[in-house]
Amino acid sequence: MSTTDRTTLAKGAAGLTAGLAAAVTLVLVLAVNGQDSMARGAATGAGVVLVLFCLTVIRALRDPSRLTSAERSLVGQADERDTRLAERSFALTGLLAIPATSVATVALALGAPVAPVMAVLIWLLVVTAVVSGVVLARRG
Amino acid sequence: MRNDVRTLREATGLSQAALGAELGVSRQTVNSIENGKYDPSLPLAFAIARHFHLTIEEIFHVDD
Repeated sequence: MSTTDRTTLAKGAAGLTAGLAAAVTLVLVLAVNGQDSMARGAATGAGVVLVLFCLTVIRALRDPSRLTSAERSLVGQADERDTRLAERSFALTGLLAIPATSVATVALALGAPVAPVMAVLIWLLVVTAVVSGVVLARRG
Repeated sequence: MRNDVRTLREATGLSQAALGAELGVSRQTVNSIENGKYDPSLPLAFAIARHFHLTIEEIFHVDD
C-alpha cells in the first residue's frame, strides 16, 4: 500500500468516524427532544451520506485517476482546480440562497405551509450546488 | 491564455496522469490546462516551467 493510499485510508477513517459521531449525536438530540420524525430523517440522510462517502473512499483507493473533482474534495485529495471549482460552486449557491430565502420568508409570512416551503428551499440549494459543480467542472 | 504544455508533455513522452503526479495535481487538471480551460496558479505555473526546464513566459502566452 502506497503512502497516498495510507493517507486516503486514514482520512477516510477519520471522516467516517467524525460523520458517525455527528450523526449519532444529532439523532440522539432529536430523539430525546421528542422529534422522532426528524430523528428518523436525520438517520436516513446521514446513513446515505456516509455510505456514499465510504464508496468514494473505496473508489479513491482503487483508481484515484478516475475520481471526479467533487470526489477528490470529499476524500481530501483536492488540488487547486478542485478547490477553485468548489469555491465557485458554493459561491453560486450562496448567491442564490439570498433571494431564495427571502422568497421563502415572504411565503411563510403570507401563510404558506412550512414543510413544503422548507423542502423546496433545501432541494433548490442542493440541486444548485450539484448542477453548478458539474457545469463548472465541464467548463474548466 | 494559450500554452505549450501539451506539446512539451508529448515531447517528453509523459501521460497526463504521469505529469499530474509529478506536479501534484489530477489528470483532469492537466487536461484542463492543456485545453486552455483552466489557468494555473502562479506556484503551479512555476512548477510546470521548472519541470520542463523553461521559463513561464516560454510556456504560457497571453491571448491578444
